[in-house]
Amino acid sequence: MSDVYEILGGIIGDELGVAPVSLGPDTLLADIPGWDSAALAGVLLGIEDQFGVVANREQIDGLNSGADLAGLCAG
Amino acid sequence: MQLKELLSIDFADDHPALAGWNPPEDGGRWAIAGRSSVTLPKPDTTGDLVLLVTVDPFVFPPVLNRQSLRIKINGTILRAALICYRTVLACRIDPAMLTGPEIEIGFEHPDMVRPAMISASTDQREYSVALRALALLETPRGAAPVERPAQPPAAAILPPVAGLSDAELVQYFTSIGDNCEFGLMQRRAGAEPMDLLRFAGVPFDGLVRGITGGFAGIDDCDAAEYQIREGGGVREYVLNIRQFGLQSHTGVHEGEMPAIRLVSREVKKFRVLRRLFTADLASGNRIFVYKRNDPPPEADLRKLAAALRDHGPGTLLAVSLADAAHRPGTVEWAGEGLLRGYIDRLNPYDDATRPSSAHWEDICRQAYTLWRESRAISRKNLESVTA
Repeated sequence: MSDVYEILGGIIGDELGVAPVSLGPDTLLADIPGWDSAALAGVLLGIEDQFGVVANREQIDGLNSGADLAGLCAG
Repeated sequence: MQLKELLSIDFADDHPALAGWNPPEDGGRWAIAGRSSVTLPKPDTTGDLVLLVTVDPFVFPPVLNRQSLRIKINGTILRAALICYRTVLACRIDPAMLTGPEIEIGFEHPDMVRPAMISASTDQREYSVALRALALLETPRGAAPVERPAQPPAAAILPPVAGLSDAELVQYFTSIGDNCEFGLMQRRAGAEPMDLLRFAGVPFDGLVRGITGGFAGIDDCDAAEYQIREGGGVREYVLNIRQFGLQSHTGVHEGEMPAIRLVSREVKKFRVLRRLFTADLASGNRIFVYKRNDPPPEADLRKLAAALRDHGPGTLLAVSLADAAHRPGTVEWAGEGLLRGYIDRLNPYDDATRPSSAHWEDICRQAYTLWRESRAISRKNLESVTA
């Protein structure tokens, strides 16, 4: 499932206006330069479009790492 | 919403499309008289157009605080605005306005004034507004945001308050405006909940109207103005949504990103935040916090609590200054779905970022405890009815 991280890295890069971000399960989202609540919102909408999943509050509040985002994509 | 830039004009550069503008000055061009325009070929697009303009007003507070501006497309008014600060305006263009092969973007700015008339300046030229940038953006036609169904909210299992860290505790609360004090208190406690009004100020009437309608339209780019506000040594874009009188920090400083990116990300952010807000309204799984520095009329609080409960089992925690009858840090029920909390001090509106009162934590712990008890009673009553 490493492709998921590639796709997510692309979505994050698009949202931050930079090249695809290198993302792994242990990457802390807060450590990504430019990461903030607006970036997270854009990434969530990107995930919805790409994977067709809608996150709820409990899931969103628990998003800290690349693995958390990848878990979200699994539905 | 995907925004794609079709063309842009930097008013610091020469451009044949400009009429009625002075030569470039300080990164923009002042309008020469009461009317000016930009004429562009109509873009060949199947999408809807959005006009983005960055405008400076000539102001000299307190003598002259704002400038009137009307924007027209081919003679039809697109937007009327009062400009007090450097502002980015986003305006959706009705396709019916696009007749003919060109788009004439007209600007009317009647409040021309000579600096020498209102200040010690000797400048005898007339000023009203200056444009810094203009862009035409494309968004897919009929691209109303897809309303994805929110996942059905489940009643939260509420742990005892003693087992909650400060960060966990304050996640159960969501600010509904007035200002940023509670949102910053959550940050100091180690929590960063994504909440619609966490860093926003909304007047009471706009708040009630917004809650009643689930803040529909808050994520429409056409509803917003982005004003540059100066404070604490930084110049930040503050989002102003006139429909609700809402002002919200963007956290984006001037020059940090192009206007199109700013608008695009704020639209997306508010779409997600609004969805979370309406889910919170429906589930009642969080406590809505309303603070006010002046004593709030009881009728207002009941109206606000009722507006919340129209959507679900929501609870309002209204926090105001303690008085002789209410010690700081105490909380009590004041009606159905209405908790009143009392605090020793609230930060002044012009300095919401200073450390807040330590009594906020006491108030949250007490409010949570009372709320948890009431939720347990409601659940037992429900179980006894359905048994």
